[in-house]
Amino acid sequence: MSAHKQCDGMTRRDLIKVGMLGSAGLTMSGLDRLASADNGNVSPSAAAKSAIFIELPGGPSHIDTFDLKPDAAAEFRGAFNPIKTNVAGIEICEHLPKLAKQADKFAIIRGVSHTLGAHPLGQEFIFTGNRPNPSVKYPGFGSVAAKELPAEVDLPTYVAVPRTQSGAGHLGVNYAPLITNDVPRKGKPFNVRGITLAGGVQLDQFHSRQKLLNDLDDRFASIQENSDLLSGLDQFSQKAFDIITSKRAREAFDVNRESKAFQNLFGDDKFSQSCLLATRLVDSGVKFVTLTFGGWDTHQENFSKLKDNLLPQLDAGLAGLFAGLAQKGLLESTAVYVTGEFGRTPKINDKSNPGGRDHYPRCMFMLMAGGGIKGGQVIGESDDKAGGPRHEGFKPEDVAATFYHTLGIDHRKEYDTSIGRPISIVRDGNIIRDLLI
Amino acid sequence: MIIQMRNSRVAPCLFVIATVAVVSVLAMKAIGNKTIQPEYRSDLQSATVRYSKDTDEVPDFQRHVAPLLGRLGCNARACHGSFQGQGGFQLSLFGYDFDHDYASLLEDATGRIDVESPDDSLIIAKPTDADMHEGGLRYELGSWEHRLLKRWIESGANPNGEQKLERLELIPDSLELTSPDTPVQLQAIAHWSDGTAEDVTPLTRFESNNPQIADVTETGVITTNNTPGDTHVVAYYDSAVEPVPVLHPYNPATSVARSKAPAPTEIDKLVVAKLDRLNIRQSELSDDATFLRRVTLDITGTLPSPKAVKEFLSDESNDKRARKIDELLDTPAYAAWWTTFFCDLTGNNETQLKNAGYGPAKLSQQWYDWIYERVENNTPYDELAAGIILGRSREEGESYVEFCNRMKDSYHNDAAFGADDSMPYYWMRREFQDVDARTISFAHAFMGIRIQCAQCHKHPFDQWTQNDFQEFSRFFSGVSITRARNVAREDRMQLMKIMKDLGIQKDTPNGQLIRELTKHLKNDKTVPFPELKTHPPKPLKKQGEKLSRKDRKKTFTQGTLLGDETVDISEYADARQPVMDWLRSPENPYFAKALVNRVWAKYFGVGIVEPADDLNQANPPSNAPLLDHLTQSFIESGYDFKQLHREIVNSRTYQLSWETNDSNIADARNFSHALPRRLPAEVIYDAIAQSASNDTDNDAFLTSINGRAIAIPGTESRRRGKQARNAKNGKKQDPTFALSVFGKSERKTSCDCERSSDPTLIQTVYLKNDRDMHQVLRRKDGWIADVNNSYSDAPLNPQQKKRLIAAERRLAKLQKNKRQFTRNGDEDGVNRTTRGINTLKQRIEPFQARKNAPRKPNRKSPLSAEEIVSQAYIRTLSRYPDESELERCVEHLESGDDQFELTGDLLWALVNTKEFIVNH
Repeated sequence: MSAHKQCDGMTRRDLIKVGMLGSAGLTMSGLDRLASADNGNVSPSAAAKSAIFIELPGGPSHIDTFDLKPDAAAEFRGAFNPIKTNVAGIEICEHLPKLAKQADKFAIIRGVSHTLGAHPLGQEFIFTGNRPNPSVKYPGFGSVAAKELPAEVDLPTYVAVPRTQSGAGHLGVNYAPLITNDVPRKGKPFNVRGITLAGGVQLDQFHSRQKLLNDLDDRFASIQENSDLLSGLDQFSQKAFDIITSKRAREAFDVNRESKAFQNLFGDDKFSQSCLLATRLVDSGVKFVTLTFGGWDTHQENFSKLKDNLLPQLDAGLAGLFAGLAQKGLLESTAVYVTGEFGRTPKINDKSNPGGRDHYPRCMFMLMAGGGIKGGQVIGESDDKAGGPRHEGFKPEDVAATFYHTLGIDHRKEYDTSIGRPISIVRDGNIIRDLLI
Repeated sequence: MIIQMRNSRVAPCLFVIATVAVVSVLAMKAIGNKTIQPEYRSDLQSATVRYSKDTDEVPDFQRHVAPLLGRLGCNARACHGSFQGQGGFQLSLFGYDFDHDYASLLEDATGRIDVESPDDSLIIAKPTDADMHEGGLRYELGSWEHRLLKRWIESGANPNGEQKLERLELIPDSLELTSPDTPVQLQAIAHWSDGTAEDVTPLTRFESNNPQIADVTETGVITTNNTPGDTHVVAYYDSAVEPVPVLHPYNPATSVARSKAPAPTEIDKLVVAKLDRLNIRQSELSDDATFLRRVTLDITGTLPSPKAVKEFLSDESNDKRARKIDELLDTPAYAAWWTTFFCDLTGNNETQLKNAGYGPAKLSQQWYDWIYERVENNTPYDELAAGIILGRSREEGESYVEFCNRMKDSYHNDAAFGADDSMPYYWMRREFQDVDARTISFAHAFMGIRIQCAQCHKHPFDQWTQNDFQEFSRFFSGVSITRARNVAREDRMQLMKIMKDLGIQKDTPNGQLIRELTKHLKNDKTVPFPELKTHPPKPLKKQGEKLSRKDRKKTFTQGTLLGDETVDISEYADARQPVMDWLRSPENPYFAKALVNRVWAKYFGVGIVEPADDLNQANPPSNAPLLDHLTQSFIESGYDFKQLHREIVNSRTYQLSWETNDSNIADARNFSHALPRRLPAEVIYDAIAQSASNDTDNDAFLTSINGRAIAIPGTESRRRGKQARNAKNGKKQDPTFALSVFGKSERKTSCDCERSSDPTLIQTVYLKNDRDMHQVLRRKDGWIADVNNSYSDAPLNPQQKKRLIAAERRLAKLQKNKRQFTRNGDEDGVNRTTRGINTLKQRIEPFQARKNAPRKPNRKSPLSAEEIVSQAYIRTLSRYPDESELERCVEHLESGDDQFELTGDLLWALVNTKEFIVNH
């Protein structure tokens, strides 16, 4: 028996096995998951069973939100003052009053640092935990989770509200999220692409269509079992039917089924309503939800944009999310990770009056909460002007590794890409133990 | 025999030695029942034999020590081949960096090598002691491996000699097994540059490409089990990678009259020759309907229209297939679909074009149109490739202002850009700031090889080393983008004049500047354009890094063509020129072959080399004579792209049925039958729209590509302007979602696998229940609406009802106006309104009759239920229904009285069949 490892550990033989499954290699692993709903590949002792990842594309200012420097000179400090939170010693921006009352539930990570100051590169880095590389496309957190976490039979594993910057990368479309394309509006019915019966088709009509299809779809019966493609198509057809006709899936997206009191924990704005939806989805059994809340690229008029628009939404949404998860008893089992792709320049620019801030990857903040994370603490520290980490600082990879760890996913685990190259989930990260309970 | 733990995560370096068999090379008997005795070199003794006793031979580092460490697994990734090393000791991954590995072994004060006391050297002490070595026991004291290493150390642990490996010979060099029980020993002979030969069998690594068919032991003994088929066993020694084909025929009893297998074309002869050796019979020829659907989808990315199906099926001439092929190759849809193919290869992606001009969408469209024009005119492939490979912005002798003027003109006139024989955007992609990305992309796109492995370590399946990669990349470091603001010194005066004429302030911030310039450009003013400039090749800055002062002054004067000669680049004005010349030389092993193999893979779902973009020595073609023939004939035709299609598609092999026989059911790589393939993303999207369209629109799909998904130039699929107005799926639809669901290439990394044809759950959910699907299937001007309207007494559907009510209101208003005009004696007004009233009445009369029609129509339509079912089948599956299908569908159509919905159910069910979504 030949045993030597090839392109980084994979034997040529393993490669051929993948090859023999043909183009449906990835797919079949997906099918296995469908067949047995408990085929997840995670540590059973993990605190988090599901997760919510919140992308803040554009790059939110750290020095105006969770890393204020009230003693710095005026051209750095900015217009906002710190306020006390419900945790002694932790102060955040005055325009985040609701979050200040929930500070015991989340951890603030300060002085995270990297070097990629362009939006697409920064996002690729932070939202996948891997520095971009032209020959590999790394999967986003949700896609890895969709591959590793156990799936439910009649529910999507991974939902993006309304969409996400990070795709399934080399894992392939099988692990792409269900994209809602829209966010719920308070008191209005919420239609989700693919899940809500569309085009006025009624449930009984849908059943009758499927019956007609089943009767007609037997052209390839003689070769079906020899073709991964054909048998795969058949099994997905059944699963899709199950999801579309599932009452549970439909109701998971219907935020109006929550009590009025619960809905009132959240604001009426789009981001808050997305947070409400995320809470409900996790409660229903969806394993991973990604929320996207953009607009943080405040080169001009940084302070008015933050104060009037961005911070009130972030405040209402996140405060609702933490309170809602806690009320449902889901906070301990749901990991939450909130981040943009970089921070913003500590020195205020003069592109507008009263000024803005530009891209700044050298120093940024991130938030984590829930499953396995110790809330009510600040980890890391930036220097006097929030211009860089005061001590060693954290790499984005470290936070990513920690996020995976809370879900019981070993970030060093390797996948073989379609060309047989082994790629670890996070190439270069160390778990930040201080963040964990 | 060495058994390695598979699960490297659990036990990264746990190896167990069971036994180390010293195999006598001559233990071989007959090979199968052919009783051919391999002619082994019995005059050479292998290292196993030479070092099984004390010897005076002095081992050489490159010949013996390094390969032995490789074969023992020391330089594996989980062990010392890891980039971090293991226990402070690091070897080059997969070996071959002899200088590095030698230095690493001899590193001061590590004790790895102790010439004074060889057995205390760590490379002996540790791997022979399982307790001391995390990697476990690798070999035993007293073994030949031990003696060899010890001899090398005690004789001074010297570095390499001067020899170079000329070739690695394998005996036997191919194997055909008719009785699978007899194991066969391989003998590996290294031929060195000084003319000497050595048996290096025990220092060679052996791998099987498919152990199900033929497995190979550590020591090079090939064994087979009962799975017939063919594969390769690959030997690795030094930089050599040598495959040995092994063929294990299917049951001879199933083979009937092989020589009678029809083989009308050269392709068929070569395919059947291989199949004969495997005892496989090809399937029957496909029927006409299957052929027509397959060939139309493959050549043009389009379904055959109902009219085309009917005409083809009723045509009784003998040459109708060949004529159909020629006809399809002349359609705009052919040009569009194969332009998409080249856009995938070259990475036409808007997000990569942000710095290349004004409006990435415009540039991406120009890129697409430039290729389209050449595919349509059947420009020879080498010319098309040269236009991209040697792409430049300025024409010879053109001044900067003249260049900007020309770019302005082509901005407003698409044809002007296509007329230029050069297309610079490939090199202006943003990721190409990094010269390594250029090399990786180039090798993938134009040579079909995956060189990226060699960016960081020796390629595991090919001869390429990091040095080869670096040397090859020199040719690509002689072009850079010059940003509009930052032109070369000699052009600065011209730039300043342009800016002054436009009245642009010097300190305008970048974003605002681009906006202003775009506005001026739209007003047909000359604005500065970024350009691709050639310069002497030099080290280039990488993302997030700075060039050292030393590098800034450096230029490269030499580069080495992959696997070929070193070239003096300084002789060329454009460093890419020697690469283009090399690709065009008829002996080039990659350029024509890579394209031919890719095109073949599109038609068969599997390449002759598979994966199609992975030409490497360890991955030989399944049928080398076939690939050679196609390549040769393509080159001899003058790189005639259409002729390549014609030759492939006219073969009987392409036209075989998907229905298998008892001999070929398990074959998936020798082209013995057609393999069902999922339709590509753009083709699915268009096919759904086409199935749902009315007969007139349906017929135009081949000829009018406006608004089709195969005409989307880049990766940004949302259509604007003209494209959106002509969108075949309805004006409001955005195909972005559907195309990504079905795996359109994102054109981000260099891999053909970026275009996915895997089935997924989300695809099925889309087909069954996406709002876009519902909208397309019941479009107002589509087939279902036509069918429904053909019933003179059909009840109105809700949309028609709404329109009727609106029209009746309009009518009432006109009548009121007419009364008014009559009262006022306004004759003109009366005439005008009367005309209006009459037209409107005529239009709505048939609808009014149906307003109160019974829910169950009386079938006064010219269309019977049977006819509706036939139409539905032809427009989706391109064939007539059989009797049981007809019966089932008619039953459904008659199961209720809402014809609109019931016909909709039928169309829905048919586009949801596997038969629809695969090409077969």
